[in-house]
Amino acid sequence: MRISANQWIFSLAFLFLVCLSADATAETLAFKVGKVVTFDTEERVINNATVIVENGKITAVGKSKEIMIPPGAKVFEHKNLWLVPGFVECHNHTGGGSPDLHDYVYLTNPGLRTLESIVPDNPEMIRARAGGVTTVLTIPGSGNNMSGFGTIMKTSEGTVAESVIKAPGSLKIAQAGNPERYFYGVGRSFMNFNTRQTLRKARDYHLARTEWEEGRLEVEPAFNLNWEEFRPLFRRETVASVHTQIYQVLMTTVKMVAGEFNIRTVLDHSTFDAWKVAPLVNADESIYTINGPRQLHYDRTQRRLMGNAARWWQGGVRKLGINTDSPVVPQEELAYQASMACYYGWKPYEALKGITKIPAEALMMDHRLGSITVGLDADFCLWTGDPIDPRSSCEMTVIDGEVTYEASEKRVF
Amino acid sequence: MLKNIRIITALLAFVIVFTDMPVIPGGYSLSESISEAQDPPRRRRGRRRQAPPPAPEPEPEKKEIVAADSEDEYLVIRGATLHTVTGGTHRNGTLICKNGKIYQIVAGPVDGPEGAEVVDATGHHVYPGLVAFRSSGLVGSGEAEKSQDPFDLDTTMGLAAGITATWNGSRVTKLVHGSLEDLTIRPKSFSSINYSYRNPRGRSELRRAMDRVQEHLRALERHAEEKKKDPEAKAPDDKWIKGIYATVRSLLTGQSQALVRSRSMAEIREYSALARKYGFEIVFELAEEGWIDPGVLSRAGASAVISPRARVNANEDLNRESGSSIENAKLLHDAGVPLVIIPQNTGIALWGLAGRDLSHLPLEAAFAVRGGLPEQVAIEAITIEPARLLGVADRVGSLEVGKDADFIITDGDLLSYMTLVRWAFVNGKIQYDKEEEGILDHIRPDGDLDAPPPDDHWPRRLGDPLKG
Repeated sequence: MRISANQWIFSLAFLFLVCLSADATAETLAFKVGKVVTFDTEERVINNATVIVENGKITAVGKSKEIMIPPGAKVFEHKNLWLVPGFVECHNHTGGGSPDLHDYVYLTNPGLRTLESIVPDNPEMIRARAGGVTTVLTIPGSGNNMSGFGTIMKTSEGTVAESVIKAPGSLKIAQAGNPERYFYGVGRSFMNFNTRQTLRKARDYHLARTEWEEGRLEVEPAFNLNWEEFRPLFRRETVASVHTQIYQVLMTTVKMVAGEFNIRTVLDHSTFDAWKVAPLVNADESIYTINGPRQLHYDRTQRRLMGNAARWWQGGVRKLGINTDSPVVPQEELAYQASMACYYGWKPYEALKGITKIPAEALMMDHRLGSITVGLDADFCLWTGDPIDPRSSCEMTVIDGEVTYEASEKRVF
Repeated sequence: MLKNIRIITALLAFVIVFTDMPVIPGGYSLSESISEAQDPPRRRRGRRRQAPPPAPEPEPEKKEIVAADSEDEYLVIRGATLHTVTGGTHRNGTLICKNGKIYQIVAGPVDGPEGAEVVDATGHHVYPGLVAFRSSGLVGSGEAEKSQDPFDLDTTMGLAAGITATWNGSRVTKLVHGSLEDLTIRPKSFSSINYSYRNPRGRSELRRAMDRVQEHLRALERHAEEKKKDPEAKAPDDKWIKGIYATVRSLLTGQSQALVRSRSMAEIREYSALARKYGFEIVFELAEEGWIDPGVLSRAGASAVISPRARVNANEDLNRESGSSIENAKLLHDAGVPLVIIPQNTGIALWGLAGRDLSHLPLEAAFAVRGGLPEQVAIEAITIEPARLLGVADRVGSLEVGKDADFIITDGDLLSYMTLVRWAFVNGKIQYDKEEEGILDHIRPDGDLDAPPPDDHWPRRLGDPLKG
């Protein structure tokens, strides 16, 4: 039998592809590092540790002398570096690149999704992973009371399907301090009325569809794209990211969104003097406070500079994280936001947890992200030291078990 | 024939504009005479910078100090680590100031003169007061003695950030709280020139002015020679030296430096070529693309005032490097370019976004360390280097005997993100005391990470009504 040149080429190409794909899926990586900050259930910090990664997941973590490196594994030996979970950003607007920030069609645009505007591997995301950020929640802006649903995505290279890990990732609600600019006459009482009205319509839709699905309703309620994405929200399978600041507004958020509508709530911003209502926030265990981008509040009456995160912490709030509101603060500077929280009185270990484990929990993604635990996604970075110290730099970023950034090739941040 | 002339002219123009070749003889000698006239003396141009030699440890025995009944005011800082910046670091050293000047720096613990004010700074660090190359709102404009609000909050915040001197655009001024004395150190102005390629007419005007003034300066030299033979020799006319010509003359005679805000490497190249050709001193602000070819700045003897964290997107349309790099500071330093570091926001921002203004000047320098700059150089870039560039290095910028007693005492390493200024001294007097001032006193008092929150609600200026 004679084999034509074309057939040869095809079969070779096929073999090559098979080799490539086999390589990609079966690759085992071993990281021998100086220190691992795990944020696992025991909150271990392990010196001279090894982390094993197989098929994009973490399969072993422990002291180097106790961990067996599987034969054939690619070993990265960096005895002077720290291995830290990839940072998780709860409040980002640059997953689609800078230009596609926000749609100002109506004062409430509940049906919109940022999923439609995601551009993976855009310049902002490339910088983000150089700053140690491996996951972002890209949400629409706060120029409307309700601007649609956000998308949780990795900052990895690849297609939309590969990057996105949860959509809808959260509902964006903006309660005050921005939607006022939408049109003359939009004030706080109207905004609260508007938000409540919209959430009620959505809940009615959800309840009607549920009744029909469970056979208690004979006629199918009309499918409505405006309200469909709210259903996981009311089932508490996803969260609401609420743009809320100043303590009076924050009280409304806790009472209305978290209380009246029983929605899992993430208090984004939570700035100015919002920490004054820490007891109210503590009363609901499911509420997460993700503070930022403002890290300080100047109290004119007392002539004092308050660190927002420190004041929340002093108020007993423990589900406390930090955000950048990128592009307000560049995404790669998430760790620097934590530095600022510490400068103004917070604590470094808690602040590092506030950009890894806590935001992962806040987004209900801690089963995949936010700590160095067996079974979780292999998303982590190697740092020259304490990641919160601006002098330390991220030397390598690993997302889903793939090295996506190496400073030795070209230092980006 | 005509064609040949065109080609020659084009070539000549190319050489003048795009290279650093000294087309006009004498260009270099002028630049050398300027560099000799510089005050204070600077390191030779284009040379790779050497680390400062380790300072000889001062004698641990104390000098004899006579103070008993004189009216001299002594201030003694004990127990701290002294970072002199220009002369090494002394653990548990003693800093003795007399009448607002640094009088003695001692490597070990010694007793100060009798009657001296003693500050026990055990466990703390002493650095020279930081010098902010540029600022807005920290001190009054122009002559600060006439315009400064002595109780301005931004001044206090500047001191809380460790800044004790800054340039307000026309004068190098001290940050002083509650007083209007001894603010101005020295007037300082830079020349601004526009040689942008977006402004071809301005470019040719500037070059013409440079040529004409250069010719005038040569005529002056010739005149000086002629005068030796003929005392009656007529001096060249200088009535026309006004406006741009006056600017150019102050540049070419070394009386001032050009301060240029340039983002792109293309612009930096153009200005550097001009500076080399006519032999004047140039300072680049911004210079985000300086890392692409730092040798250009170094060969022109240029200094750079940069924000290491500045972020400029690369231009993907170009077939060459562009945009900013976190390694900018390191690469410029490696090429021997004197560096000054300043944040992008040169005011005090209390509206909420932290870490991007002069309140965090040391952390901007910390980002340069992230890009590979040695820590010592990063500290120099916010102390002695801006002082040199502003012409006040004989007064401030380092801890040296005879300099002004302007220094800060911090509760940790200056470049660390949890270090706060405990005291700031200017002219040997406390200008900021963290515990007294109260703005930041509730944050880590005595280093306590678990300090309780401050008392709330009652305006402090009204006093506590519950206490009556």
